Formats: sequence, structure tokens, C-alpha cells
Amino acid sequence: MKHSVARGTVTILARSVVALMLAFAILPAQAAPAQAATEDDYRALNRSIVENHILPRLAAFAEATAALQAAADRACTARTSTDLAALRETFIAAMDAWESVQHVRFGPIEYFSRRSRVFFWPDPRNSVGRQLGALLGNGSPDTITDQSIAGESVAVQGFPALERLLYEESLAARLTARGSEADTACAAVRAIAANLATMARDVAAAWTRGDDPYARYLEQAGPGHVRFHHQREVTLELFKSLHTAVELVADHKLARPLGASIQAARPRLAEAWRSGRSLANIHANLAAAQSLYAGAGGREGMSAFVREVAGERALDDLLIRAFAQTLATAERFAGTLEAGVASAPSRQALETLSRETKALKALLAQRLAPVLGVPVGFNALDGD
Amino acid sequence: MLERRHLLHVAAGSALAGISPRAIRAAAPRAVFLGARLDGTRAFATAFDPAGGETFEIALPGRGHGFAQRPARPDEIVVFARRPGAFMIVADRRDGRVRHEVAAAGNRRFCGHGAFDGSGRLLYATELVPGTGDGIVGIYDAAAGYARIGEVGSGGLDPHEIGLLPDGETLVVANGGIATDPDWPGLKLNIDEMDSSLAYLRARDGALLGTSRLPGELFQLSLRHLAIAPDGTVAVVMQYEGPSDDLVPLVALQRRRDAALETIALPDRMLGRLRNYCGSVAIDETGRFLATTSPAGGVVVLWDMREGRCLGCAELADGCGLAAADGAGTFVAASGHGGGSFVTADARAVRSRRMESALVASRRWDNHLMRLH
Repeated sequence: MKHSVARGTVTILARSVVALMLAFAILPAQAAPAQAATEDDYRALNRSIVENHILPRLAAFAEATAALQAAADRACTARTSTDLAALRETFIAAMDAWESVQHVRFGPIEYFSRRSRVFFWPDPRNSVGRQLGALLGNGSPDTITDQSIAGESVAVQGFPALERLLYEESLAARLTARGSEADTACAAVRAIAANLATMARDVAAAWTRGDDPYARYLEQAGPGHVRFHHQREVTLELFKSLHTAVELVADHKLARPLGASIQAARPRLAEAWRSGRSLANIHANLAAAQSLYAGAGGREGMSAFVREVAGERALDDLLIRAFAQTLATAERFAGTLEAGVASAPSRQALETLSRETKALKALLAQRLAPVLGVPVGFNALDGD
Repeated sequence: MLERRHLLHVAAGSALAGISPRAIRAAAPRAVFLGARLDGTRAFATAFDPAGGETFEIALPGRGHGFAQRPARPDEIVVFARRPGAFMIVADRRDGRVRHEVAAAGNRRFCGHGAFDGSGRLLYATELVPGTGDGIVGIYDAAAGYARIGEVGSGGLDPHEIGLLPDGETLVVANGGIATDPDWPGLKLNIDEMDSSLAYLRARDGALLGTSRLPGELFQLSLRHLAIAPDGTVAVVMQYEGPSDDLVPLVALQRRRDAALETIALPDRMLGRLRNYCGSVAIDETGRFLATTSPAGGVVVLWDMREGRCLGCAELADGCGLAAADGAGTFVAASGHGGGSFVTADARAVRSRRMESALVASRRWDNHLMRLH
């Protein structure tokens, strides 16, 4: 009895937060308070996000993919089910690390098509399936190497191809077998894991090391800088990362498998249904967005800027609540996204999550952007 | 009845003013600018005069994009739905009254732009096949209520803006080369293997006369919008799908069909300001000056086509809609935040003046403007 009361309260709270978010989002934008913000305010904001959010997450991604590479080498040497299970665990940890930093879409991750190579998705034409079939069909352990994989189609270079190798039954069976077919599958697993580790290491290094580390390049933003003429323009990139993180969940990762109705549900359009990690990925994305907004400890980063520099306490309070509520909804959902979209009772909870992420996205674009001093126009966001 | 009253009204106006060249000019429709706009989820095409006064408005069934005005029958205009579009609207240029609403053909979607042939009889609309993104030019007979009488291939994927060369016989189409998910048009599927081109088609039968491409290292530049000068030079503007830290040219000229696409560099001080994206392009009344808008960078850039160089820029946050205005080197640009500016280039500088108009200031202007005659 007590339990059902609590649930009811949560539902009402959820509804009211969504209503509040939407109401806030459609208010006419007020004069941008951030006009009072100085170049130094923006520099401090950008620096805190780079140092406390981006760099640690890139380092974690590099570490997780290095572990994945080591586990792939072990599993492909031993070919035991225990090592395969361990490999799957490191795969999930590495994918989680990627999902926690995939929203940082500017800078070194953009070079050499790295983002598509790390995680080619969505894939409505089944490029991953076709290209992986061709790779395994035409390749051999001699021809599929750490070096050769980087020259293959982007569709076979990253997580989606590796997920099929580890979770599609007929393919995964090869990883505990011997023979030429098994050796070829193992060569692909090792090459993809190595490729991911290389890209992750290179991206992290490009931000922090070498002659021209990207973090310093951002720090130098200002008049005379070739790309960022103001620190505020770096803040705009960070805002876009935040907006994209929520937008990908709202418009793609949730909306695609949900469809317009239960009859139109498409569970296999979920991001990682083979490993059953689609909802976990969404959770990682939303948690990353929350952390980008408020820092690891809360009330840091953009949140502190909104409160202290722009003086918009009410908006900050609302955003903090909105992130917490949306994440709580994602956490409350038990089961996988794939199964959830196809069952009437669980769809309701997923639709709530969908509404909340959409409202959050509107709130970010229409209320947070002007307060940060980076109003984003609809021509700029989705021109054609 | 309405038309008759309208005629009487015009006649009365002429009588009051007396018969003078001035009165005859006043009776003819004034030059106005037609822009697509959004109001929440409602979409319109709204026309305003150079002083920013409203002349007419068309409520649209969905988000609009580009326009065409019918030669020889300039009282007729066409509004194309934004890609992947389900409709085009044919309306009266004087009052915005809708004459025809044309639905996309089966398994075809409008791409947002179209152009008439020289006589005003045939309308060519860029279209695509959902799923594959294959480019189509749909052909409509304006004299038969815009019946769709045929189609030809556009010579590439993702066709966008189309225009008729001054020879009256040749169409030029910018094939953007980007494949998008049919259910999620914002989702690009092939940015690692894009193939964008400028295709020339013979209007009479749709024969592909030739295609032009940028050098291979610029394959991630999507050729999307174009403007055609009186001498036949095609000015094309691009958006870049590669790394945002790359600094690439965004404007190219093709002076003859068999000549190379010649890119125009930005001066160093302006590198990066365009955010690798141009959304619209127009040529001024003299045919010498070119303007481009970059909404993400919030700048309108002016170029000298004869000398092939950039002249400078004016700021307009989220400015995208663009059309030639009265005067050499003069353009009007409109913003998605509301508001618009006149931007003018002369030998020394680029100057900009905000439009003093409550109407223009209070509307959120979408990608394109067209100057109507």
C-alpha cells in the first residue's frame, strides 16, 4: 500500500516537472543576462569543463579500450568460454566509457572520421552486417591485422561490428573454437579492439600532448585565433555537446525503437540490442549530460555560471531538477529497451522518459543557450 | 466577384491619381520579399515590401523552404516544402491566395527548391526517392494545373537547389550527395563516402549534359545552393560535413559548364567565422556581387564575382534568408531570431543597416527569401 502511494507521488512529480520544463521552454527569452559575463568568465567555464569533464572521460575511454584490447588478445589465445565472458565484460565497460564521452563531438574525435569508425550508428542499411560478412568471408588471419582494419569500411572498425562478433550466436561460437573460420573471427576481434584502443589513445593524446594540444588550442581562443575568436565560441561548442547528448537520446535512441505506437515499435533499431545495452547507453548519455551541465559534484561548470555569473537561480534549480528527474526515470525502468518498447505496460515508462528528454532538450535550446550567451538559431541548428 | 471588385478598386485608384507613368508604376505590384517562417509549429510564407510592411501571407501545411516565380505569368508563385517535403503550393503573387496544392508523387519527396523554364510552362522541382536518396527532377505542367508529366534523374544523390541558365535551355542542379534516413531526415548516413556534384541537364528532355565535382580532398563539401549570374556564371555555396576544425572554401564559381569549379578563399581574418556552412546565396542586380549567409557563424559575406574575392562581412545572428535588393551590391538578409538587414558592398567596405520593421523583427525567418517581381 505504502509502495503504491510512493509510486503515485513519483508519477505526479514527474508530470509536474515535465509541465514546468515545457512551460519554461516556451517563455519568451528575456534579455540575455550573460551579456554581463566577461571573457574571463567564459575562459574559466571552458577550462573547468575541459579539465573536469572532457579530459577525465577521454582518459577513461583510453583505459577501457586498452583493457578491451588485452582481453581480446587473451580470449583469442585461450579460446575458452571464461575468457569470452571476460571479454564481453570489458566490451561493455569500454562501450560505457564511449557512451560517457560520445557527446564531445568536436576536436580530435572528428579527425580521420574517428567518430564513425568508433561507433557507426544508426545503420538502417545494415552496412555493418554486409561489411563484416565481406571481411570475414574474404579475409584470413594473415590479412586482418591491427593495421589493415583502419583501412576497411568505417562500419567494421568499431563497437557495432565487435558487438556482433561477441553476441551473435553463430559468430560468438567461433571465439571458443579452432580452425580457419574461428581464427579469422578472432583476428577481426583483436584487430577491432586494437583499433578502438589506438583511436581512444590518439584522441586523448591529441587533447593533452604534442606540439599543439587541443586543450591549449581552446585555451588560446580570442582575437587572432584562427577558429575561435572569443572564449564564448568555445562555450558554444560545449553547449552543442550538451544539447546533442540529449537530442540523440530524445530523437534517435528512444524515438526510433519506440515508434509512434506499439504496433510501430522497432526494437531492432535500438542502439545495442545484441548486447542488451541500449538502455544502459541512454543512461550513460544522460548522466554525461548531467555532469557536463553541473559537474561531477553538482552546481559546478555551467550550473555555477548560470547561478553566479548570469544570476539565473530559478533556471539553474529547474535544470538540476530536470536532469535528476530524467535520470531517475531511466534508472527506474527495469528490463531492456528492446523488450520494453514492445510491451504495453513498459512502453508507458519509456514514453515518460521520451517526453522528459524532449522537454529537457527544448529547455536547453530555448532557455539555457541565451543565458549562456550562445543563443542558437533554428537556421544554425538545422539548416538545409 | 472578388476579382471584379479588385479590378474596380485598381481602376478607381488610377483615376484618382490621374494617368501618369508614376500611377502606372504604382498600380503594378511592388517588388517584395517572400520568406518562409516558423511560428512554433505553424509554418507560413510571408511577403514584406522593402520598408518591411506586410503584403501577404500564405499558411503552409508544413515547413516551407524555397520559392519560384513563374516567368511570363509573374502573378504566380510556388512555395516548396522543406526536404523531405510532401507538398508544393501554387499561389497568387498579389494576395497569396492558394491556387493549387500539389502533393509529392508516390515514393517521391520534394527537396525544397524548383525552377521554371523560360516560357513559364514547365516547372522543374528537385525530389528524392526516400530510402535511397536518389535524385530526381520532377516535371510539372503549369498550364495543366501543375500536373506531374514526367521526371528525370538529377545526376546524383540528394538534389537541392536548381536553376535555369540564361540560355533558357540548360538546367543546373546542386546534388548535395548526402544520404539521409527516410524516417529521420536530420540523420546523415554516408558522410564518410559522400559524392556531391553540380549537374547540367538539357531542359527539353532531361539529358545529362555533364557533371562537375570539387577536387577529391574536398569530398565532404556538400554543394547545395546556387545562384546564376546574367552571364551564365553559376555561384554555388557549400556546407562541410568533415571536421569542424578544418578550414575549407565554401563558395565556388563555374564560369562555363566545361570550366573547372573555382573555389574562392576567405581572407585569413575571416577563416572559421562561417562555421563551415553557407545556407543561402544571391547575386545582386548588376550581376557582379554575390552574397552568402552563414547562420551558425552569424555573418553575411559579400563577394566580388568578377575579381573572385571576398569583400567583407556584416553580422546577423542566425541570418540565413537572402535576396538581392534595389541597388548595386545590395542585399536583404533575414534572421531566425527575427529581424533583417540591408547589406551593401562598395569598393571600400561592407555596410549593414537593420530593417526598421516590427513585422520583420517579430517573425522568425527560415532558410530562404526570394525577391518577387
